[in-house]
Amino acid sequence: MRAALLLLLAGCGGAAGGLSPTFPDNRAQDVGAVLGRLASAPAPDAPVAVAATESALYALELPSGRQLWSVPATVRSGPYLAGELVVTHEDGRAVGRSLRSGAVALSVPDERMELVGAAGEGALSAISLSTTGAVGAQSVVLLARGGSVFHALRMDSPAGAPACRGGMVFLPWGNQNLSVLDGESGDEIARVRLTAGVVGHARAEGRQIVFGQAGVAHLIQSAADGSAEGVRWWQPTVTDLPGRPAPWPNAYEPPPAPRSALHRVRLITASTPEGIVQDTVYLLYYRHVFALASRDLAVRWAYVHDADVVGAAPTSGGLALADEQGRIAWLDPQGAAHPLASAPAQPVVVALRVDGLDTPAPGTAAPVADGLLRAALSTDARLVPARALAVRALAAQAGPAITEHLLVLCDEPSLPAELRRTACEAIGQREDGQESLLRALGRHAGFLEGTSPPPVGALASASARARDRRAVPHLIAHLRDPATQAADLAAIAAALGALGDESAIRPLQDFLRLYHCEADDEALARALAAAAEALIALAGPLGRELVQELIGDGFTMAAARPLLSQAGSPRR
Amino acid sequence: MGESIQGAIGAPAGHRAWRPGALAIVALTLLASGAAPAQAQRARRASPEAQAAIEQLGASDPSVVRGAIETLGVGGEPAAVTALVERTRRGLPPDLLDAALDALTVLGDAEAGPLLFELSSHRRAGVRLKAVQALVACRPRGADRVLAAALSDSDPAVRSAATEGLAELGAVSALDRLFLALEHDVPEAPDAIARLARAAEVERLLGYLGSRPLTQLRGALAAIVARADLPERARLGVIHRVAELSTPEVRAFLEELSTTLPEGTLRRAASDAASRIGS
Repeated sequence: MRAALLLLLAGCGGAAGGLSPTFPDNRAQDVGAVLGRLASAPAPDAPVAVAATESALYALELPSGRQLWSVPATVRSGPYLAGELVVTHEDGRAVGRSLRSGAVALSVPDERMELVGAAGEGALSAISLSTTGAVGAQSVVLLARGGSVFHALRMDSPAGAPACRGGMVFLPWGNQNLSVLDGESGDEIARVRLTAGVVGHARAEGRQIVFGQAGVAHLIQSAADGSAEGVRWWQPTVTDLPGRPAPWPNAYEPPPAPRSALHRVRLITASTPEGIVQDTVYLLYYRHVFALASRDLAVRWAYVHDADVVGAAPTSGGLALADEQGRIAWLDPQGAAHPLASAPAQPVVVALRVDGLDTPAPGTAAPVADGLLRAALSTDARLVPARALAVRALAAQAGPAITEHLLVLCDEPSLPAELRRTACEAIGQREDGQESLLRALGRHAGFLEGTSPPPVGALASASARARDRRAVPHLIAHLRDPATQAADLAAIAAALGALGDESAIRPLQDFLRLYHCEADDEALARALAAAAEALIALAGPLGRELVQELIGDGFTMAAARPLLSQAGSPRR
Repeated sequence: MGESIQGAIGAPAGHRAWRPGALAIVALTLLASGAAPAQAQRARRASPEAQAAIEQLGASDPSVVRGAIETLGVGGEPAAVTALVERTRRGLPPDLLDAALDALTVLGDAEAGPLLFELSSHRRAGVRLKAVQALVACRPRGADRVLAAALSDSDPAVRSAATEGLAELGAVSALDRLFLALEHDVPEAPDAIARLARAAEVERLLGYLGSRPLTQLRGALAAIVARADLPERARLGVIHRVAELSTPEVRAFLEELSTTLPEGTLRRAASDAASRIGS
């Protein structure tokens, strides 16, 4: 067999010269024929999970969790589920093992190329090897049946990660193309050239093919026009998501190693031409899972797993998860987790095939805020960006309880600064939960009491926003409290000015007189300016008179003088 | 805008936040321009040197102001306190504020109390420390409450000064706070308690034996045993309760204690208790 393989790799088969440069792309009748074959595709292969540990590969039947086999192996990338095979990159070779037994059915030298992807359907497997990159890229796509390579397609272009369905191979290549190969002959039977975005991956979802990379395209009849509209292109704006994951990683770069974060930070979708399934996209971030609305990526719910998730795949509703402790679970559409299987192993990456997976009845939805709070409070330092997302999502919820949750987060000194800042900023935008905010404002730092100052700046802004004058005495007390952070003083003064309560006039005067001669301090200078503005707002010309007096004082802090001048300007 | 605002803004600055009745304080620096009669009366009592210094408090040259503060501090005239308080309330740069507080401490006049209360919560710990020390020197009414609050200060030096100050002022009303300070390892708290404790508080202090290190309490215990104003029974109780611990450390403490006490029941009790503890 080895000799035959080498012969194939040397360039036999009808496509030795690669895909024809003259093959017509975007031909409607070709696409129509492909869709016709897809419509009569057999049922998907049975659900299965294949996991790679540091030194082994093992397979589990799903949903039973029965271990099918376990073999020693050290994989460099993969595993990829490819019909009856599982394909990995090991020690300079692309290796295909039987999913039934784990026995090696195929082993091909990698010719110093990367294993970009593999897919299959029944006995048919497609394996994509490529140098990756753009200019000068070389690729070989192997088609195998029952573990025997019958076709090797050499290309002077980068090849992407293929899909197989309906006896066909769907091969992305050269950033913009999706070629469809006949699974018997290897002949190209259709080509779609897409200008909407990069095409690096293809995936079979039921009897449909989706493809793309930063966005998702659908192989439908209108795809023949090659336009974004024709493929119902969906590309999320991920700039605000932690890790900024795309639906697929870049297929034209070396594939991620098994331990790569790319396996653990992903955007997972199931898509139909009509739209994203259940209008929900899943963001995986190590052990956090967020369900996002496909339209605007607003967080619907958050789930916190107790271990890193190292494999995930969308089901017809919900998400299958595999974790680093060997467990497999199903998250229902409401975010409730249902254990499915477990293996005594510590996988670093898991490939899941879950088409047709029997899933339990969905559970009762937990309050969204609870999940978001759990996500925000988790202690893993890697998760800070995801925790910040949870805080932002929490802030978008209404109700006094949410305000209280945000207060807890804003007030927790052990939280990372980014997280606290996000929560505090959110508090400043709240208009409900004033009772909680007032309670918090009543607290002061005390060595004997073991208390710390509350996040006064955020509380002051929230009180001003809510026009709640009950906060005034508390704000005055914090203005006078040496434990109040200098950075919060300006917000306090501004809030006192905004709340319009005359009882703040004297405290503001005292503050200005007491501190205007202090040594240069940027935060204090800003606070003095804010106090001056507030005083003028509350006391009018008489307040301005004091500010002018301070501006004229030769001892006034140099950093504050221009700010005070600005605040005291008659035009203001 | 109501009259209260007019009053707050229009009146001479400084006195308003502290006590409206102290209007006279405000005017000393206005002497030259015909101040209110009460102010002028006080100013007339000032010596020519003090009067000149009071006028120099308004100078724009910091060295002149510093010289004036120091002159007023050493002069010891009542008018100096009023003038320093007023000038301080108008705002001073850090070094001059420190100098003013030093001067007020030296002058030791309770009239400075309201200003010192305010400065005991200044943003700079150094100012708070000087304010606390000045309060002890000036002994204004309410100083004990302010010092008891200062036990919670974030700065350990301020806490220590407040603790010692409460003892100095004889502030038995602050004993509960001082016990709390002891529990929070404020080093001066046991000694302050020892100076203020009555029989009931001596018993309360003994309750910490065994749960706090003897090194933290031994100075306070020795001070209580030495206090002639406490009933002898209470002082003997200290020796007996300490002896119950029967540690080599206790033995050494009692031996040392016995050498510091005059001949009599207490000395014998300490000596006997020490001898009963095996080495």
